[in-house]
Amino acid sequence: MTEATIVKWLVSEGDEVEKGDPVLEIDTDKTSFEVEAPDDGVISNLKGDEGETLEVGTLIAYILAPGEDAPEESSPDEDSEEAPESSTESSAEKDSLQAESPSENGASAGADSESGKVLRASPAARKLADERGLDLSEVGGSGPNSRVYLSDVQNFETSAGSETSESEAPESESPKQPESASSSEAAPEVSEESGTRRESLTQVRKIGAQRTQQSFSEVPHFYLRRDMDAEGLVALRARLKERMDSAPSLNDLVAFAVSRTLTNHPRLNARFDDGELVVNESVHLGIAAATEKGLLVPVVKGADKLRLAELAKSTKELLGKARDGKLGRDELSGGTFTISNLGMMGVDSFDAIINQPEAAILAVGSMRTTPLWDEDGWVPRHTISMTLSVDHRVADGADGARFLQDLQDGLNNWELLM
Amino acid sequence: MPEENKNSESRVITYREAVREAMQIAMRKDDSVFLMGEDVGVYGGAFGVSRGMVEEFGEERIVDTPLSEAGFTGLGVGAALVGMKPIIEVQFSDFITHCMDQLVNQAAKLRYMFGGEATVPLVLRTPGGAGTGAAAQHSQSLEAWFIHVPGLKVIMPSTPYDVKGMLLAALEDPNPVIVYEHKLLYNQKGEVPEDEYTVPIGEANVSREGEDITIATAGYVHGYALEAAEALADDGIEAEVVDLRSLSPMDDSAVAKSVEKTGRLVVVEEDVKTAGWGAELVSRIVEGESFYALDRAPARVAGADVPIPYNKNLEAHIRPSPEKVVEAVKSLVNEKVGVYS
Repeated sequence: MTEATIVKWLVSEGDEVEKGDPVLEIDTDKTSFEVEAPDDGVISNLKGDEGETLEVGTLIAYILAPGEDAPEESSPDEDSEEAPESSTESSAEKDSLQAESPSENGASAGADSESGKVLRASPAARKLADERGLDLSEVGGSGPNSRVYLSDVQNFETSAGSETSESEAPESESPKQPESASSSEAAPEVSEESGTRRESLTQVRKIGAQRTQQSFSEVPHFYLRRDMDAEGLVALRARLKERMDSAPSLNDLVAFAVSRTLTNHPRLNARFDDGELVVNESVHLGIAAATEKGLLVPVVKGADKLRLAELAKSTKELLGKARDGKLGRDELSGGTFTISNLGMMGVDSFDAIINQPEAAILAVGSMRTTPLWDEDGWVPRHTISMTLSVDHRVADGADGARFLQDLQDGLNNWELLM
Repeated sequence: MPEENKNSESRVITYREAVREAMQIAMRKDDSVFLMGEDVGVYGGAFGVSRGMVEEFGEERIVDTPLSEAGFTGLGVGAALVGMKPIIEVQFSDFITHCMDQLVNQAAKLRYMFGGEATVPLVLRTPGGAGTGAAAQHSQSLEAWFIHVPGLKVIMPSTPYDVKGMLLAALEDPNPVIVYEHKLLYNQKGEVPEDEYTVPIGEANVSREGEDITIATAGYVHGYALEAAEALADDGIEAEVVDLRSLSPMDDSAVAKSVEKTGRLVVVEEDVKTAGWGAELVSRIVEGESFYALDRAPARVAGADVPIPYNKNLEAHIRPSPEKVVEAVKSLVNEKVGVYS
C-alpha cells in the first residue's frame, strides 16, 4: 500500500477526539476503512480533500494535546515555550504521521484554518491560469499541500488541450475534478471531439487491473471444463430448505464441497514461490463478488473447518461488507483458492483468471437442465458447468482432473465429504 | 556586458594589483586624486594594495594618517568639497563605524543640502568579509548599512576586471562611493586590460547563464555561487548567476529579467541575513511584475545572525559556502522553503 484516497472526513477542524475514535474514511488497496485517532486531543491543521489521493506518510492532521500548538516549521524564531512537556509524546507521534513535513507559510496559516483549505499556487501558476481563464482549483497541485506550480498549469493545459474551448465545453456535474489520475471517484471527463470520455479508475479497479494483468501474463494458465451432475446438489438443497429458515445457497453448497475436496488435493491449495511449492494447511476460500467499485474477493478463513451453516453465514456477512465497501484488509487477503460464480447471471461457463498467488480458481456457470442418455432413453438432469483454471507450475492436468472428479463425487454423495 | 576600451592588452593579475592599477592610472592622469589611510604609505597598506605607490607618487599624495578614521574621513569629505578627488582606505571595513557621521551626515547629504552647488567626489575603499580567522571585529560585512543612506553609492566588485573598471568609474563619479573589497579576493586572479577602462556603477553582470534558477549575488561569495552552479549542473540544474556588482544603485531589473526566465530565486550574500541587502533585493522582486514570474518562494543563503566567531570551524559554519548554496537551490527546486544558512 503506497497511497490512499480520502473518502470522507468524519471530524472537523477543532474537534476533540479520543483515542480510537474514527477520524476519516480512506479508500485503499481493495477496500475503504476508517482510520482511528492514535491519541486523545484536538484535531488541527486538517489537510487533504475528500476524493484526494495521497501518498502514505503525507501529513493530513495534527492531534494536539491541551495547550499545544501545531508546529510552524518555517518560523524558527517563533517561541515554542508555551508548549508543555506533555506534548512531547504526541509530538513523537506527529513525526510518525508525516513522511516529510512541508513547511507552512506562517503568514497564511490563519486563513488556512478559517476555511479549512486555501488554494496554494505560485504567482507564476496563478498568472498563467488567469491568462488562460483556467480555474486553479481544477488544476491539481504537485507540490506540498497540493501547491500548484507553473508546470502543473502547463501540464493541465496540455492534457486538457483536446477539449473544446472552455466557453462551450459544458462542465460535467463535478466541477472540482483533480487532474491526477489517482482520484478515486470516477467523474467523467467529457471529450466531445472524439465522442469518448475518460474516467479515472477506482482504487479497487486500479489494483484489479494490475493484478489480473500480472497474473494473466505471468502465470501459465490451463483450463479444465466439466459438466457436473447437480442432481445430488439440488436434492440436498431441497432437503435443507424444508428444515432450515434460511437454507444455504447453491453457491454455499458448492463452496462447502470445494473446501472439503481441496483437503485431499493439496496441490490446488498451494502456491508457486520462486521454484518451490508452498502448500497451505488450511483452506481459505475466496469468493469473488461484483461490487459497484469493482471486483472484490473476500476470504472465508478456515473454510474447510467450518460447518455448512457457519460457512454460509460467514460468506453472507462478507458479501454484505463487500457491497458496502467495508471489508477490512485482513478479510481481503490470505486466500488459498477462489470460486467465481457467474451462473446466477446466466453465464453457462467461462474461464477465470487465477487470483495470484493462488494455484487455481473454479469458475461456476449456471445450472441447466440437460438431457442425459439413460440406457433406455433421454432423461432430464440438472448440470452445472465448472471450469478449473490452474497454474501449470503448481499442478498438471491430471491433478485438476482428479480434483474435479472428487468434487463431482462429493456433489453426488454428500456423505463422502463428511 | 559591453565594456569600454576592452581592446587593450590583457594579462592575468590579482585583484590587489587591479585595485592598485586603477589608482595609479587615475593619479597619473589627474593630480587631484590622492590616497589617504592608515599605513598606506611606506608599509603599503595592511593588505599590500598600495605597495610601491608612495615611491611613485610621494608622501604628499600617498598619505599615512593617524589612527583616526573619523578624522581622515572628515578630511576626505572636506578635500572632495573643495575640488580634490580623495581615495580613503579604511583598513578593515569594521572600522567604518568611526566614519559614520562623516559618511552619513556629511558626505551623503552635502550635494543635496547645497542645492547641487557642491559635490563630494569621495571614494572610500575598504576590505570586508570573513573567512580569515580575524574574528568578530575584523570580519563583518556591513555594506547593507550604506545602501540605506540615499546619497551614497555602494559597489562590491567580485573580479579583478570589475574592480579596476568600477574603481575608475567611482573616481569619475561626483558622488561619494564606498568600494567594498574583500580580504579573500585580493589574491584572486583574472584577466585585466592594461589600459584605462570603466565598468558602469549600477549594472549587474550575468556571469553564468542558466534556465532553472537565478542565483543573485555580489562580492566574494559570487565565487561560491559559480562553484555551486557547476556542481548543480552535474545534477541537471542549470543556474543563472547574476553578479550585482553594485548594491546601491541595485540593478534589480537584471535579476527580475533572469527570474522571468527561471521562476526561481536564491540570493547569496555574506552579510547577516536579517536586514541584509538580500532582503532588499527579494522585496523588490516580489513587489514588482517579476512576482508573477516566481514559481517558488525566494530563498537567501546568508551569514548567520551572530558575531563572526574566531574559531575556524565555527566561522565556516556561520558563513555561506558553495555547499550551502547547492543545498538551498535543491531545497527550493524540490520545495523545502525556509532554508536558513
